[in-house]
Amino acid sequence: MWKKSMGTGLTVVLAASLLAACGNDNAAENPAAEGTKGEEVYTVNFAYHAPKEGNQAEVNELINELTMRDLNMKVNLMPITWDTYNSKMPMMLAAQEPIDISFVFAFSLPSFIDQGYIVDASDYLEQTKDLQDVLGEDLQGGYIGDMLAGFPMMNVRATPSGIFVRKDIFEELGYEAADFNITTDDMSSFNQLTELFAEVKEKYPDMTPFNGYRTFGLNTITYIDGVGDQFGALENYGQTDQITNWYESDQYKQFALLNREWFEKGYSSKDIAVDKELGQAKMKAGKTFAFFASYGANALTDVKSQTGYDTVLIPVSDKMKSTTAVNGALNVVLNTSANKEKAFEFLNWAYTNKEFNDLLNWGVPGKDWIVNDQGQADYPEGASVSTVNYHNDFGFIYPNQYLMTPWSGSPEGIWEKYKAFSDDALVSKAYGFTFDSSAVATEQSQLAAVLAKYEDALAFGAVDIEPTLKKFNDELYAAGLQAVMDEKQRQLDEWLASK
Amino acid sequence: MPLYVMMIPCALYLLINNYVPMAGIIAAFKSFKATEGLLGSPWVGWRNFEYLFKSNDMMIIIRNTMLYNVAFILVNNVIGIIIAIMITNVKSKRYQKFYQSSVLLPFTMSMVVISYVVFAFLSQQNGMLNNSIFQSNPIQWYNDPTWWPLILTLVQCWKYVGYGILIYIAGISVIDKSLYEAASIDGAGAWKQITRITLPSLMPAIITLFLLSIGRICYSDFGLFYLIPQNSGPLFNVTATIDTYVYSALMSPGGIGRSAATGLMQAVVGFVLVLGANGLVRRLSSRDAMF
Repeated sequence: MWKKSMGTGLTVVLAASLLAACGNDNAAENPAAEGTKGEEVYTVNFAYHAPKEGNQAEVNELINELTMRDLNMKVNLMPITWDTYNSKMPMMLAAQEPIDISFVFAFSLPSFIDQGYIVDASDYLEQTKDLQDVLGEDLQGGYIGDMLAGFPMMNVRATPSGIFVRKDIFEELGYEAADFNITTDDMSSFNQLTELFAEVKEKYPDMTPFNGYRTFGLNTITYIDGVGDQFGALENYGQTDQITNWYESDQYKQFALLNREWFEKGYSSKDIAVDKELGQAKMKAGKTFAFFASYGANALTDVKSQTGYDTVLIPVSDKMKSTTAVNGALNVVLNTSANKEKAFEFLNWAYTNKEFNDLLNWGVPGKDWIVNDQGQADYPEGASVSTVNYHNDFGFIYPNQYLMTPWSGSPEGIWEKYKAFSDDALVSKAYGFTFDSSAVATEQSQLAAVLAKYEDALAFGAVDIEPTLKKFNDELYAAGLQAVMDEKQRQLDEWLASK
Repeated sequence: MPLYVMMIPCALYLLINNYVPMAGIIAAFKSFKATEGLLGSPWVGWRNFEYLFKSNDMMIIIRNTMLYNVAFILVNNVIGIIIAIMITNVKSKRYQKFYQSSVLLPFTMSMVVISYVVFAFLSQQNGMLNNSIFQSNPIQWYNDPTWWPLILTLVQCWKYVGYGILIYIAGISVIDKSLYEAASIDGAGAWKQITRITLPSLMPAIITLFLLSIGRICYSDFGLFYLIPQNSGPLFNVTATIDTYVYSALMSPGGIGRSAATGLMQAVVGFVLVLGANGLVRRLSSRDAMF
């Protein structure tokens, strides 16, 4: 017993071998990959994000018909859920599983590249001509230095934030969306929200005016261009070329104080900084009046389907287009691919084929979804989100959202609206620049640990702001914030000069 | 000879699963590159260990990890022995089985489930405690570190004590019953019987469990320290342990070198402590030492 336990302990050390063992289990779960081994047709292992795993067999078959027709290839769909990605992906990679293509978040790119997992796509530009046409200048978001690490997803490019409020209550209280004009240029304009919440609290004592795990201070992607992370950023929607520490800024402090006021007055839930559930789920449960979220062109329809309530959107930020908004998630070809040319060919096709994108997002036509009279996707008669087998609704993290059949209730010409949505966005000065963080990896891990300690409590105002904010910043600098900021500034200056 | 033959499956298992992979320790000293493979990746000396010791919180984190483990070892063993003795003294066989199973039940529960049970007690909005006992003076449980050493110890004990109890019950049941008969004839009461017969006979089991736990003193139950406090930042000074720190510091996936470095350090500290503790036991009473 002693030996066994001690041995178990040591095994933990042996990451590589241990991971290899786990990986084999995974491989066994993919019969499709095994089954086609003997044939000459190449099977692309395609890892993509999905809300659940194991329901993709039928969709996979339909996609195979398409790929056999167009490419003489087969695809093995490998759905990975959001929450298991960070634990599963490294294991599969370390185990050298033959994944051809996977989605990768921009902040993981440097570490993936450092470990040699990613194929430089600039060697395969021949195979991806159509893809390059689709992406246009957004292709730049896939570059790290001279390396084309991956291809951004084709989706809406700006991620402004807003407060979604229950329409019924909002109108009963006699408000109109036009009453609110909230801008970061005048931080006192945010007090309009406080007044609104005060009235809701008074008239509807059993409602929580503000709830859900998102708020101003957490949504760095909206207010600053953090060029990769949030440690050292271009403030004011990236309209500067000086890297500064956002957590020291007046804006961040005002956001924290605003949430503090809501927290102390009971406008936000007392558990708001602890409970990780998002506002959409909170509103669906029926006791929440408002939540904070990033939004796209089709926000109200999306929120309606997520919460079951009609909502009014109060924008609380400008729109910014930053590299992070473009390359938040990319499709990359991995070194584990057995045939990289084929993988790129498939990817090229995936960005241009409408049927593929529809299948991936909505499932089997006629069974999981139908095209309704308005030409939009809808549930078949009598079916709903809980009864259909496959319904992902994650268009924004699939190759090309703009090819998909829009979901019922979307405004006409929704994709044109999406494209136009980012046209009037403020373009960050660092747009197109991607930070190579490998030189400051140690500092970044220290900073991440410090951030984890303070971020939620400060952003939701669960603690006394002034002293905590000071401690937070002191610890950030002690953890090497200045080194990261200097490195960012240096790379950014170089990039700006070369432009 | 037949005995050695019987050992072969187990020995092979240990060899393949526990000894061969030890070669992977080199990952801790390499900058892993998938294209080069583990052996071909460049050596980086101690660089993978740097991030562990650069943090200003490292002292707090190591202190938390070790002190909690010491507290858990003490509390679990003391309470485990007490309950084990109580259960073995239950006369009805059916009740005895019932109690035995009930103390083991929490052991089978996932920490995720337990974290929600704890949240139901401590939630600041709808929690049971703030809406009953502390109604007039609600406590911000997830912002106030004061109570967490107690809460974590309680939860840990509740979940894991059943495991030790099983071993102690097994230990007690093999004690020769005639010892107790002789003792009661000589006029020893229940208390005397416990301190003079039960506890000394349990000593080998206690020491084995103790040494087992010492070996894992640098490890912490990730679920307990991450999920039960809901990963709440203001509590980090009393809830952060080596494992939760590694988790929050290495957010981006694939840090094989640094994960291996952390594991190696934990294992080495545990190994040294086990050797030390065993040496101490051997000096005090060589009969009870494990090796």
